Amino acid sequence: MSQSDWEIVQRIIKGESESFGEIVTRYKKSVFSLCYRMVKNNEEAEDLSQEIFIKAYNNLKKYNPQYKFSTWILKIATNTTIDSLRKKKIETMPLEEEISSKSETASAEVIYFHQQNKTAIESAIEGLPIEYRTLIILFHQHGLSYKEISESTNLPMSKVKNRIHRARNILKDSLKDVKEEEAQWTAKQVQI
Amino acid sequence: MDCKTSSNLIMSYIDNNITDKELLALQYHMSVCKNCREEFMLFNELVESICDLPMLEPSDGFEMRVIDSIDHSIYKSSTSKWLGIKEILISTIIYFGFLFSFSSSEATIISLNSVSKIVQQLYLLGGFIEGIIEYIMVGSLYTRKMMFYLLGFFSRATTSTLVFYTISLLVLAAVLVMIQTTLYKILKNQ
Repeated sequence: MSQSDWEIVQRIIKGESESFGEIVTRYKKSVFSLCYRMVKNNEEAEDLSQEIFIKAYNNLKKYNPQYKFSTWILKIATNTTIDSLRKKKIETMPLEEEISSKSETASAEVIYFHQQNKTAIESAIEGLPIEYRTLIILFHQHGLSYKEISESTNLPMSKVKNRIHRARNILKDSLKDVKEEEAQWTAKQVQI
Repeated sequence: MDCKTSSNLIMSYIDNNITDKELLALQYHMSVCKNCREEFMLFNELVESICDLPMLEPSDGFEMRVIDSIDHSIYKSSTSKWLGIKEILISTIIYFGFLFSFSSSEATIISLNSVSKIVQQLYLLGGFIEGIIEYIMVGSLYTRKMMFYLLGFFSRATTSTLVFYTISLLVLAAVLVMIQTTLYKILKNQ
């Protein structure tokens, strides 16, 4: 019978540092996926993931078993990734500009979609501002609740909810435009 | 129901936070409103797509790289760090004490005499702390007298033999206790 995360953490704190490998195995996918969706680069995502696990290891004594370990480590992952992106001054479009230039963006997304062979949804997520992207991924891909996301990001729950709703609307509009443009593009291809 | 309320209910639906009554109202509205129906389908597709995004995995050997990068010593307890070293030092001191206890009484008397003389000379040289030295001198004189008395007592053959055997027994008992404690700690840490 496999041990709980808290039992493994206790063993590590008592001196069995090698047991941390079990924690890494359990959460490497979650952490790496989040990092990759944020930074969009394999090597950078691995470096960040390694940094996140080292931070988690060094702060194991601060882990409160009242909360899920997955929530705790994703909090470290979110903060570390956002800090890394901000240090690199990754340009992300503010929300207002996103809405105003919707029609131009849609065309660019279609071209990008065909060139990169990515799904439309992946492209749309990559276009979101960093903070919105994090929340959408944490909620829909990692299954965290509003409360858990609020604890992970130190944002009030109302703000988390509002941002996720806005992010969904942006993604919905992007997806809608991509579908319409692709339908037109496909129609043109058929004519040719 | 207006479309704005419908949009809010769609969000609640995606959040899995919609009551049965609200769901019925939403479904009725969508049956008559094409825009909201399309919006609902788009949101559903959106959520399914995000959920279907694969969980990616780092390259092989990731766990080993992390384990090699962490500082394994930060959670090692101080007792386990010193395990064995402290016990060896104390055992060594006890062992030499054991050896010393078996040295000849004459050598003991001579060495203690020399030590007391050196201490006296040190006290005389230390003029700048006269008050403390005076007290120490008085104390040392009494101590020296007591030592000579004890040495005289211990110099008797039978007494010294008895004392030496007692000391040896105590030293052996202490060593055994030390060994037992060390073994217990080793077993506990395993």
